Amino acid sequence: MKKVAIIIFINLFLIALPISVIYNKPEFLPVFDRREEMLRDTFNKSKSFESVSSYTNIILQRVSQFKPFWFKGNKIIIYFGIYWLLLNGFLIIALERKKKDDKK
Amino acid sequence: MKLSKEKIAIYLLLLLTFAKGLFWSNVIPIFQTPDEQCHYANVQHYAEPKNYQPQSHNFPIKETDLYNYKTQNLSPELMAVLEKTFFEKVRFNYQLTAVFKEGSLNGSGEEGIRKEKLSRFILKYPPWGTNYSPQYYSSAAFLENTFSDLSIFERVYIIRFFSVLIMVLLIFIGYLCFKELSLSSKESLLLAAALSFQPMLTFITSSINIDSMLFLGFFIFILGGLKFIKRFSFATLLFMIVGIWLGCQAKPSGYFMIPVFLVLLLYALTTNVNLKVFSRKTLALKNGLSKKLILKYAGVGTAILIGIFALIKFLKMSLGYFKNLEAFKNLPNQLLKQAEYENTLRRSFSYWGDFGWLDTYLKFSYIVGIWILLGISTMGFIFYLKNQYQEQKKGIPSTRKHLHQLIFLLIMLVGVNFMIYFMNLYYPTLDYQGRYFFPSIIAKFALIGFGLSYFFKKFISREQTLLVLFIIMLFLNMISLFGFLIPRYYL
Repeated sequence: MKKVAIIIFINLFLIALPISVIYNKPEFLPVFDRREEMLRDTFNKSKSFESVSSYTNIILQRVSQFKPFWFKGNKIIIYFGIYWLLLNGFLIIALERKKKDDKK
Repeated sequence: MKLSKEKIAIYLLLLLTFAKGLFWSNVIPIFQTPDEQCHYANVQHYAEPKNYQPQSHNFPIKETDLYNYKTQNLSPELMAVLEKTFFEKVRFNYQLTAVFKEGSLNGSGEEGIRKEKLSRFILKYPPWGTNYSPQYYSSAAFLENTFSDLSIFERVYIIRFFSVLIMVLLIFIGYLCFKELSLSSKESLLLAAALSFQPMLTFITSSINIDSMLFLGFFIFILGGLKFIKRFSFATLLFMIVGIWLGCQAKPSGYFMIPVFLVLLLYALTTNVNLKVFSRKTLALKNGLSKKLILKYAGVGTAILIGIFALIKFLKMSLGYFKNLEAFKNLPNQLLKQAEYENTLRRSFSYWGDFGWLDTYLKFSYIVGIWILLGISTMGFIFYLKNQYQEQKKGIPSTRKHLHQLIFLLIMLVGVNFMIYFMNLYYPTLDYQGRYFFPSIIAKFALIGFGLSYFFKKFISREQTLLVLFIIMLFLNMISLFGFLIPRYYL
Protein backbone atom coordinates (compact mmCIF):
# COMPACT_ATOMS: atom_id res chain seq x y z
CA MET A 1 0.00 0.00 0.00
CA LYS A 2 2.79 2.36 0.97
CA LYS A 3 4.58 1.56 -2.26
CA VAL A 4 1.53 2.45 -4.36
CA ALA A 5 1.04 5.69 -2.41
CA ILE A 6 4.66 6.76 -2.97
CA ILE A 7 4.49 5.95 -6.68
CA ILE A 8 1.19 7.81 -7.12
CA PHE A 9 2.56 10.80 -5.19
CA ILE A 10 5.69 11.01 -7.34
CA ASN A 11 3.68 10.59 -10.54
CA LEU A 12 1.21 13.27 -9.56
CA PHE A 13 4.09 15.61 -8.91
CA LEU A 14 5.71 14.70 -12.21
CA ILE A 15 2.49 15.35 -14.14
CA ALA A 16 1.43 18.42 -12.15
CA LEU A 17 4.70 20.25 -12.74
CA PRO A 18 4.59 20.62 -16.54
CA ILE A 19 0.83 21.19 -16.45
CA SER A 20 1.27 24.00 -13.98
CA VAL A 21 3.94 25.51 -16.20
CA ILE A 22 1.65 25.47 -19.23
CA TYR A 23 -1.74 26.28 -17.77
CA ASN A 24 -1.08 27.97 -14.50
CA LYS A 25 -0.71 31.67 -14.25
CA PRO A 26 2.89 32.29 -15.27
CA GLU A 27 3.38 34.83 -12.52
CA PHE A 28 3.47 31.93 -10.06
CA LEU A 29 6.74 30.81 -11.56
CA PRO A 30 9.89 32.13 -9.85
CA VAL A 31 11.26 33.12 -13.23
CA PHE A 32 8.61 35.83 -13.46
CA ASP A 33 9.28 37.09 -9.96
CA ARG A 34 12.80 37.85 -11.04
CA ARG A 35 11.76 39.36 -14.36
CA GLU A 36 9.22 41.51 -12.64
CA GLU A 37 11.87 42.63 -10.19
CA MET A 38 14.13 43.60 -13.08
CA LEU A 39 11.35 45.49 -14.79
CA ARG A 40 10.44 47.24 -11.57
CA ASP A 41 14.07 48.37 -11.32
CA THR A 42 13.91 49.67 -14.88
CA PHE A 43 10.60 51.33 -14.11
CA ASN A 44 11.99 53.01 -11.01
CA LYS A 45 14.93 54.26 -12.97
CA SER A 46 13.03 55.46 -16.00
CA LYS A 47 9.82 56.43 -14.16
CA SER A 48 7.88 55.18 -17.11
CA PHE A 49 4.69 53.14 -17.14
CA GLU A 50 5.48 51.73 -20.55
CA SER A 51 7.75 49.02 -19.23
CA VAL A 52 5.03 47.59 -17.00
CA SER A 53 2.49 47.31 -19.78
CA SER A 54 5.04 45.87 -22.18
CA TYR A 55 5.86 43.30 -19.53
CA THR A 56 2.28 42.00 -19.60
CA ASN A 57 2.47 41.84 -23.39
CA ILE A 58 5.71 39.92 -23.24
CA ILE A 59 4.15 37.35 -20.92
CA LEU A 60 1.13 36.91 -23.14
CA GLN A 61 3.31 36.51 -26.20
CA ARG A 62 5.50 33.99 -24.50
CA VAL A 63 2.63 31.86 -23.32
CA SER A 64 1.49 31.54 -26.92
CA GLN A 65 5.05 30.75 -27.96
CA PHE A 66 5.44 28.09 -25.36
CA LYS A 67 3.23 25.53 -27.06
CA PRO A 68 5.58 24.91 -29.99
CA PHE A 69 8.15 23.77 -27.47
CA TRP A 70 5.98 20.85 -26.45
CA PHE A 71 4.73 20.06 -29.90
CA LYS A 72 7.99 20.76 -31.70
CA GLY A 73 9.04 17.45 -33.24
CA ASN A 74 7.98 14.65 -31.02
CA LYS A 75 11.54 14.16 -29.84
CA ILE A 76 11.09 15.91 -26.52
CA ILE A 77 7.85 14.09 -25.79
CA ILE A 78 9.45 10.74 -26.63
CA TYR A 79 12.44 11.45 -24.36
CA PHE A 80 10.14 12.53 -21.58
CA GLY A 81 7.99 9.40 -22.08
CA ILE A 82 11.01 7.10 -21.87
CA TYR A 83 12.23 8.99 -18.80
CA TRP A 84 8.83 8.70 -17.14
CA LEU A 85 8.54 4.96 -17.88
CA LEU A 86 12.02 4.21 -16.61
CA LEU A 87 11.46 6.28 -13.49
CA ASN A 88 8.34 4.28 -12.69
CA GLY A 89 10.11 1.02 -13.42
CA PHE A 90 12.94 2.01 -11.12
CA LEU A 91 10.55 3.04 -8.36
CA ILE A 92 8.60 -0.22 -8.60
CA ILE A 93 11.76 -2.31 -8.41
CA ALA A 94 13.38 -0.22 -5.67
CA LEU A 95 10.29 -0.30 -3.50
CA GLU A 96 9.45 -3.92 -4.25
CA ARG A 97 12.81 -5.11 -3.10
CA LYS A 98 12.30 -3.25 0.14
CA LYS A 99 9.03 -5.07 0.73
CA LYS A 100 10.73 -8.40 0.17
CA ASP A 101 13.53 -7.50 2.58
CA ASP A 102 10.96 -6.48 5.18
CA LYS A 103 9.35 -9.91 5.02
CA LYS A 104 12.72 -11.52 5.71
CA MET B 1 20.86 -15.83 -18.54
CA LYS B 2 18.72 -14.85 -15.60
CA LEU B 3 19.41 -11.44 -14.10
CA SER B 4 19.14 -10.95 -10.36
CA LYS B 5 16.85 -8.19 -9.10
CA GLU B 6 19.87 -6.27 -7.86
CA LYS B 7 21.33 -6.23 -11.37
CA ILE B 8 18.01 -5.27 -12.95
CA ALA B 9 17.68 -2.38 -10.49
CA ILE B 10 21.14 -1.00 -11.23
CA TYR B 11 20.67 -1.38 -15.01
CA LEU B 12 17.39 0.43 -14.68
CA LEU B 13 19.03 3.25 -12.72
CA LEU B 14 21.72 3.60 -15.39
CA LEU B 15 19.09 3.67 -18.15
CA LEU B 16 17.10 6.21 -16.17
CA THR B 17 20.21 8.37 -15.76
CA PHE B 18 20.75 8.19 -19.51
CA ALA B 19 17.13 9.05 -20.36
CA LYS B 20 17.17 11.94 -17.88
CA GLY B 21 20.39 13.24 -19.44
CA LEU B 22 18.93 13.02 -22.96
CA PHE B 23 15.88 14.97 -21.85
CA TRP B 24 17.92 17.68 -20.13
CA SER B 25 20.39 18.01 -23.00
CA ASN B 26 17.51 18.51 -25.44
CA VAL B 27 15.83 21.11 -23.27
CA ILE B 28 18.94 23.24 -22.74
CA PRO B 29 19.24 25.58 -25.76
CA ILE B 30 22.35 25.25 -27.83
CA PHE B 31 25.47 26.84 -26.25
CA GLN B 32 23.52 28.15 -23.25
CA THR B 33 25.74 26.39 -20.70
CA PRO B 34 29.02 27.74 -19.28
CA ASP B 35 31.71 27.99 -21.97
CA GLU B 36 30.01 25.40 -24.18
CA GLN B 37 30.82 27.27 -27.40
CA CYS B 38 34.52 27.41 -26.39
CA HIS B 39 34.59 23.67 -25.70
CA TYR B 40 32.87 23.00 -29.00
CA ALA B 41 35.38 25.23 -30.82
CA ASN B 42 38.12 23.09 -29.33
CA VAL B 43 36.34 19.92 -30.45
CA GLN B 44 36.22 21.28 -34.00
CA HIS B 45 39.93 22.07 -33.80
CA TYR B 46 40.67 18.49 -32.71
CA ALA B 47 38.49 17.28 -35.60
CA GLU B 48 40.64 18.98 -38.24
CA PRO B 49 42.31 16.55 -40.65
CA LYS B 50 46.04 16.04 -40.16
CA ASN B 51 46.99 17.88 -43.32
CA TYR B 52 44.58 20.77 -42.73
CA GLN B 53 45.85 24.04 -44.14
CA PRO B 54 44.29 27.26 -42.82
CA GLN B 55 43.95 30.23 -45.15
CA SER B 56 46.38 32.30 -43.07
CA HIS B 57 48.25 32.42 -39.78
CA ASN B 58 47.47 35.96 -38.74
CA PHE B 59 44.51 35.72 -36.37
CA PRO B 60 44.89 38.37 -33.62
CA ILE B 61 44.63 35.81 -30.82
CA LYS B 62 45.86 38.26 -28.16
CA GLU B 63 42.75 40.36 -28.63
CA THR B 64 40.46 37.48 -27.65
CA ASP B 65 37.83 38.37 -25.09
CA LEU B 66 36.08 35.51 -23.28
CA TYR B 67 32.82 37.45 -23.15
CA ASN B 68 32.79 38.64 -26.74
CA TYR B 69 32.49 35.79 -29.21
CA LYS B 70 33.20 38.09 -32.13
CA THR B 71 36.82 38.39 -30.98
CA GLN B 72 37.22 34.61 -30.69
CA ASN B 73 38.75 32.36 -33.33
CA LEU B 74 35.71 30.27 -34.21
CA SER B 75 34.76 28.37 -37.35
CA PRO B 76 32.38 30.19 -39.76
CA GLU B 77 29.73 27.59 -38.98
CA LEU B 78 29.94 28.11 -35.22
CA MET B 79 30.02 31.88 -35.63
CA ALA B 80 26.84 31.76 -37.75
CA VAL B 81 25.01 29.72 -35.10
CA LEU B 82 25.98 32.11 -32.31
CA GLU B 83 24.85 35.04 -34.38
CA LYS B 84 21.57 33.63 -35.64
CA THR B 85 20.41 32.11 -32.36
CA PHE B 86 21.00 35.46 -30.60
CA PHE B 87 23.49 33.74 -28.32
CA GLU B 88 24.92 36.90 -26.81
CA LYS B 89 21.54 38.53 -26.32
CA VAL B 90 20.04 35.57 -24.50
CA ARG B 91 23.10 34.83 -22.37
CA PHE B 92 23.09 36.70 -19.03
CA ASN B 93 19.89 38.49 -20.00
CA TYR B 94 17.36 36.77 -17.84
CA GLN B 95 14.43 38.65 -19.31
CA LEU B 96 15.23 37.59 -22.88
CA THR B 97 14.53 34.29 -24.57
CA ALA B 98 15.36 33.13 -28.06
CA VAL B 99 12.59 33.24 -30.63
CA PHE B 100 11.47 29.69 -31.12
CA LYS B 101 9.57 28.66 -34.20
CA GLU B 102 7.33 25.67 -34.39
CA GLY B 103 9.37 22.53 -34.96
CA SER B 104 12.57 24.13 -33.72
CA LEU B 105 14.40 23.97 -30.44
CA ASN B 106 17.28 26.10 -31.56
CA GLY B 107 15.81 29.49 -32.13
CA SER B 108 15.25 31.53 -35.22
CA GLY B 109 17.78 31.17 -37.97
CA GLU B 110 17.95 27.42 -37.57
CA GLU B 111 16.56 26.77 -41.03
CA GLY B 112 19.09 29.09 -42.66
CA ILE B 113 22.03 27.47 -40.89
CA ARG B 114 20.84 24.01 -41.90
CA LYS B 115 20.74 25.06 -45.57
CA GLU B 116 24.11 26.82 -45.55
CA LYS B 117 27.17 24.61 -45.68
CA LEU B 118 29.76 26.66 -43.86
CA SER B 119 33.22 25.42 -42.91
CA ARG B 120 33.49 23.42 -39.67
CA PHE B 121 37.10 24.46 -39.24
CA ILE B 122 38.70 27.78 -38.43
CA LEU B 123 40.02 29.72 -41.41
CA LYS B 124 42.91 31.40 -39.64
CA TYR B 125 45.50 30.09 -37.23
CA PRO B 126 46.50 30.08 -34.37
CA PRO B 127 43.56 28.22 -32.88
CA TRP B 128 42.02 29.34 -29.62
CA GLY B 129 41.87 26.54 -27.13
CA THR B 130 43.30 24.80 -24.11
CA ASN B 131 45.60 21.85 -23.60
CA TYR B 132 43.25 20.38 -21.02
CA SER B 133 41.49 17.04 -21.32
CA PRO B 134 42.71 15.75 -24.70
CA GLN B 135 40.76 12.52 -24.00
CA TYR B 136 37.46 14.38 -23.91
CA TYR B 137 38.19 16.54 -26.92
CA SER B 138 39.54 13.74 -29.11
CA SER B 139 36.59 11.44 -28.30
CA ALA B 140 34.19 14.29 -29.08
CA ALA B 141 36.15 15.10 -32.26
CA PHE B 142 35.74 11.48 -33.36
CA LEU B 143 31.96 11.90 -33.03
CA GLU B 144 32.14 15.29 -34.76
CA ASN B 145 33.86 13.70 -37.78
CA THR B 146 31.71 10.57 -37.79
CA PHE B 147 28.55 12.65 -38.01
CA SER B 148 30.01 15.41 -40.18
CA ASP B 149 27.16 15.01 -42.70
CA LEU B 150 24.61 16.14 -40.11
CA SER B 151 23.99 19.76 -39.22
CA ILE B 152 25.83 21.48 -36.37
CA PHE B 153 22.72 21.19 -34.17
CA GLU B 154 22.67 17.40 -34.37
CA ARG B 155 26.42 17.18 -33.88
CA VAL B 156 26.31 19.32 -30.75
CA TYR B 157 23.53 17.16 -29.30
CA ILE B 158 25.41 13.97 -30.15
CA ILE B 159 28.48 15.26 -28.28
CA ARG B 160 26.21 16.22 -25.39
CA PHE B 161 25.05 12.59 -25.36
CA PHE B 162 28.68 11.59 -24.97
CA SER B 163 28.79 13.68 -21.76
CA VAL B 164 25.58 11.97 -20.67
CA LEU B 165 27.27 8.60 -21.16
CA ILE B 166 30.09 9.75 -18.89
CA MET B 167 27.42 10.66 -16.33
CA VAL B 168 26.05 7.10 -16.56
CA LEU B 169 29.54 5.82 -15.85
CA LEU B 170 29.84 8.23 -12.91
CA ILE B 171 26.65 6.88 -11.35
CA PHE B 172 27.80 3.30 -11.78
CA ILE B 173 31.13 4.13 -10.11
CA GLY B 174 29.19 5.96 -7.38
CA TYR B 175 27.13 2.83 -6.78
CA LEU B 176 30.30 0.72 -6.51
CA CYS B 177 31.84 3.25 -4.11
CA PHE B 178 28.81 3.19 -1.83
CA LYS B 179 28.90 -0.61 -1.85
CA GLU B 180 32.55 -0.46 -0.83
CA LEU B 181 31.45 1.59 2.17
CA SER B 182 29.58 -1.43 3.55
CA LEU B 183 26.16 -0.21 2.46
CA SER B 184 23.75 -2.89 1.25
CA SER B 185 23.01 -3.06 -2.50
CA LYS B 186 19.62 -1.45 -1.93
CA GLU B 187 21.09 1.39 0.13
CA SER B 188 23.88 1.93 -2.42
CA LEU B 189 21.32 1.98 -5.20
CA LEU B 190 19.21 4.65 -3.50
CA LEU B 191 22.23 6.81 -2.68
CA ALA B 192 23.51 6.48 -6.26
CA ALA B 193 20.02 7.43 -7.49
CA ALA B 194 20.06 10.53 -5.24
CA LEU B 195 23.46 11.47 -6.70
CA SER B 196 22.15 10.93 -10.22
CA PHE B 197 19.36 13.47 -9.66
CA GLN B 198 21.56 16.23 -8.20
CA PRO B 199 20.32 19.05 -10.48
CA MET B 200 23.58 20.88 -11.13
CA LEU B 201 25.51 17.68 -11.79
CA THR B 202 22.80 16.68 -14.26
CA PHE B 203 23.03 20.10 -15.93
CA ILE B 204 26.81 20.08 -16.34
CA THR B 205 26.95 16.50 -17.59
CA SER B 206 24.20 17.24 -20.14
CA SER B 207 26.37 19.77 -21.95
CA ILE B 208 29.71 19.84 -23.74
CA ASN B 209 32.15 20.36 -20.90
CA ILE B 210 35.50 18.80 -20.00
CA ASP B 211 34.51 18.84 -16.33
CA SER B 212 32.77 15.49 -16.91
CA MET B 213 36.16 13.93 -17.58
CA LEU B 214 37.60 15.53 -14.43
CA PHE B 215 34.76 14.07 -12.36
CA LEU B 216 35.37 10.68 -13.98
CA GLY B 217 39.05 10.80 -13.00
CA PHE B 218 38.21 11.65 -9.39
CA PHE B 219 35.42 9.08 -9.15
CA ILE B 220 37.71 6.29 -10.41
CA PHE B 221 40.38 7.43 -7.96
CA ILE B 222 37.94 7.45 -5.03
CA LEU B 223 36.71 3.97 -5.94
CA GLY B 224 40.30 2.75 -6.14
CA GLY B 225 41.12 4.42 -2.80
CA LEU B 226 38.15 2.87 -1.01
CA LYS B 227 39.00 -0.58 -2.37
CA PHE B 228 42.68 -0.07 -1.58
CA ILE B 229 41.94 0.65 2.08
CA LYS B 230 39.83 -2.50 2.31
CA ARG B 231 42.18 -4.85 0.52
CA PHE B 232 45.41 -4.16 -1.27
CA SER B 233 45.57 -5.37 -4.87
CA PHE B 234 47.18 -4.47 -8.16
CA ALA B 235 43.77 -3.64 -9.62
CA THR B 236 43.10 -1.00 -6.94
CA LEU B 237 46.44 0.64 -7.71
CA LEU B 238 45.58 0.61 -11.37
CA PHE B 239 42.24 2.27 -10.63
CA MET B 240 43.96 5.08 -8.76
CA ILE B 241 46.62 5.57 -11.43
CA VAL B 242 44.00 5.76 -14.20
CA GLY B 243 42.01 8.23 -12.07
CA ILE B 244 45.07 10.43 -11.54
CA TRP B 245 45.98 10.29 -15.22
CA LEU B 246 42.50 11.29 -16.34
CA GLY B 247 42.07 13.97 -13.66
CA CYS B 248 45.47 15.62 -14.12
CA GLN B 249 44.94 15.85 -17.87
CA ALA B 250 41.45 17.27 -17.44
CA LYS B 251 42.19 20.17 -15.09
CA PRO B 252 44.93 21.25 -12.66
CA SER B 253 42.73 20.42 -9.67
CA GLY B 254 43.34 16.78 -10.63
CA TYR B 255 46.84 17.13 -9.19
CA PHE B 256 45.35 16.94 -5.74
CA MET B 257 45.06 13.17 -6.18
CA ILE B 258 48.84 12.78 -6.29
CA PRO B 259 49.63 13.62 -2.64
CA VAL B 260 46.59 11.61 -1.54
CA PHE B 261 47.85 8.65 -3.58
CA LEU B 262 51.23 8.85 -1.86
CA VAL B 263 49.58 9.08 1.56
CA LEU B 264 47.59 5.95 0.69
CA LEU B 265 50.79 4.15 -0.34
CA LEU B 266 52.38 5.12 2.97
CA TYR B 267 49.25 3.97 4.74
CA ALA B 268 49.49 0.60 3.01
CA LEU B 269 53.16 0.26 3.91
CA THR B 270 52.53 0.99 7.56
CA THR B 271 49.36 -1.10 7.91
CA ASN B 272 50.38 -4.72 8.00
CA VAL B 273 46.77 -5.84 7.50
CA ASN B 274 46.89 -4.68 3.94
CA LEU B 275 50.37 -5.54 2.91
CA LYS B 276 50.92 -9.08 4.00
CA VAL B 277 52.85 -9.48 0.77
CA PHE B 278 55.70 -7.56 2.36
CA SER B 279 56.09 -9.76 5.40
CA ARG B 280 59.02 -12.15 5.45
CA LYS B 281 56.82 -15.18 5.58
CA THR B 282 54.99 -14.33 2.44
CA LEU B 283 58.17 -13.43 0.67
CA ALA B 284 58.40 -17.19 0.49
CA LEU B 285 61.94 -17.09 -0.65
CA LYS B 286 62.42 -20.66 0.44
CA ASN B 287 59.77 -21.87 -1.93
CA GLY B 288 60.57 -19.38 -4.67
CA LEU B 289 58.46 -16.43 -5.71
CA SER B 290 55.07 -17.24 -7.13
CA LYS B 291 53.87 -15.54 -10.30
CA LYS B 292 51.15 -13.79 -8.35
CA LEU B 293 53.66 -12.43 -5.88
CA ILE B 294 55.97 -11.19 -8.63
CA LEU B 295 53.03 -9.44 -10.23
CA LYS B 296 52.14 -7.81 -6.93
CA TYR B 297 55.71 -6.58 -6.42
CA ALA B 298 55.84 -5.30 -9.98
CA GLY B 299 52.55 -3.53 -9.36
CA VAL B 300 53.73 -1.86 -6.15
CA GLY B 301 57.07 -0.94 -7.73
CA THR B 302 55.41 0.60 -10.79
CA ALA B 303 52.93 2.46 -8.61
CA ILE B 304 55.70 3.89 -6.44
CA LEU B 305 57.67 4.96 -9.53
CA ILE B 306 54.62 6.58 -11.08
CA GLY B 307 53.86 8.17 -7.72
CA ILE B 308 57.37 9.69 -7.56
CA PHE B 309 57.11 11.01 -11.12
CA ALA B 310 53.69 12.43 -10.40
CA LEU B 311 54.95 13.98 -7.17
CA ILE B 312 57.77 15.73 -9.03
CA LYS B 313 55.22 17.11 -11.49
CA PHE B 314 52.97 18.17 -8.63
CA LEU B 315 55.81 19.89 -6.76
CA LYS B 316 56.96 21.61 -9.94
CA MET B 317 53.47 22.93 -10.49
CA SER B 318 53.01 23.89 -6.83
CA LEU B 319 56.39 25.65 -6.65
CA GLY B 320 55.20 27.96 -9.39
CA TYR B 321 52.66 29.24 -6.94
CA PHE B 322 55.25 30.06 -4.32
CA LYS B 323 57.23 32.36 -6.63
CA ASN B 324 55.08 35.25 -5.65
CA LEU B 325 54.98 35.00 -1.88
CA GLU B 326 52.82 38.09 -1.59
CA ALA B 327 49.99 36.29 -3.29
CA PHE B 328 50.48 33.26 -1.08
CA LYS B 329 50.20 35.44 2.00
CA ASN B 330 46.72 36.28 0.81
CA LEU B 331 45.54 32.69 1.00
CA PRO B 332 44.19 32.85 4.58
CA ASN B 333 42.38 36.10 3.77
CA GLN B 334 40.95 34.57 0.64
CA LEU B 335 39.73 31.52 2.53
CA LEU B 336 38.10 33.76 5.13
CA LYS B 337 36.54 35.86 2.39
CA GLN B 338 35.08 32.76 0.80
CA ALA B 339 33.56 31.80 4.15
CA GLU B 340 31.55 35.04 4.18
CA TYR B 341 27.79 34.71 3.89
CA GLU B 342 27.45 36.30 0.44
CA ASN B 343 30.12 34.10 -1.12
CA THR B 344 28.84 30.97 0.60
CA LEU B 345 25.36 31.67 -0.70
CA ARG B 346 26.58 32.22 -4.26
CA ARG B 347 28.63 29.04 -4.12
CA SER B 348 25.65 27.10 -2.79
CA PHE B 349 23.46 28.31 -5.62
CA SER B 350 25.99 27.25 -8.22
CA TYR B 351 26.49 23.92 -6.44
CA TRP B 352 22.83 22.92 -6.27
CA GLY B 353 21.15 24.82 -9.06
CA ASP B 354 22.29 27.78 -11.15
CA PHE B 355 21.56 27.00 -14.77
CA GLY B 356 22.21 28.46 -18.19
CA TRP B 357 25.16 30.82 -18.07
CA LEU B 358 24.73 30.76 -14.28
CA ASP B 359 21.94 33.28 -14.59
CA THR B 360 19.01 31.03 -13.71
CA TYR B 361 19.23 30.11 -10.06
CA LEU B 362 16.92 28.33 -7.64
CA LYS B 363 14.84 30.19 -5.08
CA PHE B 364 16.58 31.22 -1.86
CA SER B 365 14.15 29.11 0.22
CA TYR B 366 15.38 25.94 -1.55
CA ILE B 367 18.95 26.72 -0.56
CA VAL B 368 17.87 27.29 3.04
CA GLY B 369 16.20 23.85 2.96
CA ILE B 370 19.39 22.30 1.61
CA TRP B 371 21.47 24.02 4.30
CA ILE B 372 19.19 22.61 7.00
CA LEU B 373 19.57 19.15 5.47
CA LEU B 374 23.36 19.57 5.32
CA GLY B 375 23.46 20.86 8.91
CA ILE B 376 21.55 17.83 10.19
CA SER B 377 23.68 15.40 8.19
CA THR B 378 26.90 17.05 9.43
CA MET B 379 25.78 16.63 13.03
CA GLY B 380 24.71 13.07 12.35
CA PHE B 381 28.01 12.33 10.66
CA ILE B 382 30.05 13.64 13.60
CA PHE B 383 28.11 11.36 15.96
CA TYR B 384 28.49 8.48 13.52
CA LEU B 385 32.24 9.04 13.29
CA LYS B 386 32.50 9.12 17.09
CA ASN B 387 30.53 5.89 17.29
CA GLN B 388 32.73 4.20 14.70
CA TYR B 389 35.85 5.33 16.56
CA GLN B 390 34.58 3.75 19.76
CA GLU B 391 33.65 0.57 17.89
CA GLN B 392 37.06 0.23 16.28
CA LYS B 393 38.69 0.58 19.68
CA LYS B 394 37.12 -2.78 20.46
CA GLY B 395 39.46 -4.18 17.82
CA ILE B 396 37.07 -5.21 15.04
CA PRO B 397 39.17 -4.97 11.82
CA SER B 398 36.20 -4.29 9.53
CA THR B 399 35.13 -1.27 11.64
CA ARG B 400 38.68 0.05 11.59
CA LYS B 401 38.82 -0.16 7.81
CA HIS B 402 35.43 1.52 7.53
CA LEU B 403 36.66 4.35 9.75
CA HIS B 404 39.73 4.74 7.57
CA GLN B 405 37.53 4.86 4.48
CA LEU B 406 35.45 7.64 6.03
CA ILE B 407 38.59 9.60 6.88
CA PHE B 408 39.78 9.15 3.29
CA LEU B 409 36.47 10.59 2.04
CA LEU B 410 36.80 13.53 4.44
CA ILE B 411 40.32 14.20 3.14
CA MET B 412 38.99 14.16 -0.41
CA LEU B 413 36.14 16.49 0.46
CA VAL B 414 38.13 19.08 2.39
CA GLY B 415 41.26 18.70 0.24
CA VAL B 416 39.50 19.29 -3.07
CA ASN B 417 37.94 22.45 -1.64
CA PHE B 418 41.32 23.70 -0.45
CA MET B 419 42.92 22.79 -3.78
CA ILE B 420 40.40 24.89 -5.70
CA TYR B 421 41.26 27.98 -3.63
CA PHE B 422 44.97 27.21 -3.84
CA MET B 423 44.86 26.81 -7.63
CA ASN B 424 43.17 30.16 -8.04
CA LEU B 425 45.39 32.03 -5.64
CA TYR B 426 46.22 34.69 -8.21
CA TYR B 427 42.61 35.45 -9.01
CA PRO B 428 41.16 36.94 -5.83
CA THR B 429 38.18 38.28 -7.74
CA LEU B 430 37.35 34.90 -9.22
CA ASP B 431 33.89 33.58 -8.59
CA TYR B 432 34.25 30.09 -7.15
CA GLN B 433 31.54 28.19 -8.90
CA GLY B 434 29.94 25.24 -7.18
CA ARG B 435 30.77 22.82 -9.97
CA TYR B 436 34.49 23.23 -9.26
CA PHE B 437 33.83 21.17 -6.13
CA PHE B 438 32.01 18.33 -7.89
CA PRO B 439 35.08 16.08 -8.10
CA SER B 440 34.45 15.21 -4.45
CA ILE B 441 30.64 15.08 -4.69
CA ILE B 442 30.71 11.31 -4.22
CA ALA B 443 32.35 11.85 -0.81
CA LYS B 444 29.79 14.53 0.04
CA PHE B 445 26.83 12.29 -0.78
CA ALA B 446 28.32 9.38 1.17
CA LEU B 447 28.74 11.62 4.21
CA ILE B 448 25.22 13.06 3.81
CA GLY B 449 23.84 9.52 3.57
CA PHE B 450 25.66 8.26 6.68
CA GLY B 451 24.99 11.46 8.63
CA LEU B 452 21.26 11.64 7.90
CA SER B 453 20.63 7.96 8.51
CA TYR B 454 22.55 8.05 11.81
CA PHE B 455 20.68 11.17 12.92
CA PHE B 456 17.26 9.63 12.25
CA LYS B 457 18.15 6.05 13.15
CA LYS B 458 15.72 6.00 16.09
CA PHE B 459 12.79 6.83 13.83
CA ILE B 460 13.48 5.22 10.46
CA SER B 461 15.90 2.72 8.97
CA ARG B 462 18.89 3.76 6.89
CA GLU B 463 17.19 2.43 3.78
CA GLN B 464 14.12 4.59 4.38
CA THR B 465 16.27 7.68 5.03
CA LEU B 466 18.10 7.14 1.76
CA LEU B 467 14.79 6.67 -0.03
CA VAL B 468 13.62 10.05 1.32
CA LEU B 469 16.94 11.61 0.23
CA PHE B 470 16.44 10.17 -3.26
CA ILE B 471 12.88 11.53 -3.46
CA ILE B 472 14.08 14.99 -2.33
CA MET B 473 16.74 14.98 -5.08
CA LEU B 474 14.22 13.71 -7.64
CA PHE B 475 11.81 16.55 -6.83
CA LEU B 476 14.59 19.13 -6.81
CA ASN B 477 15.68 17.88 -10.22
CA MET B 478 12.16 18.11 -11.65
CA ILE B 479 11.50 21.54 -10.15
CA SER B 480 14.80 22.81 -11.55
CA LEU B 481 13.82 21.63 -15.01
CA PHE B 482 10.15 22.54 -15.15
CA GLY B 483 10.07 25.46 -12.76
CA PHE B 484 13.29 27.23 -13.70
CA LEU B 485 15.12 26.06 -16.80
CA ILE B 486 12.18 25.67 -19.21
CA PRO B 487 10.42 28.95 -18.26
CA ARG B 488 13.77 30.78 -18.44
CA TYR B 489 14.33 29.93 -22.09
CA TYR B 490 10.91 29.19 -23.50
CA LEU B 491 8.42 31.37 -21.69
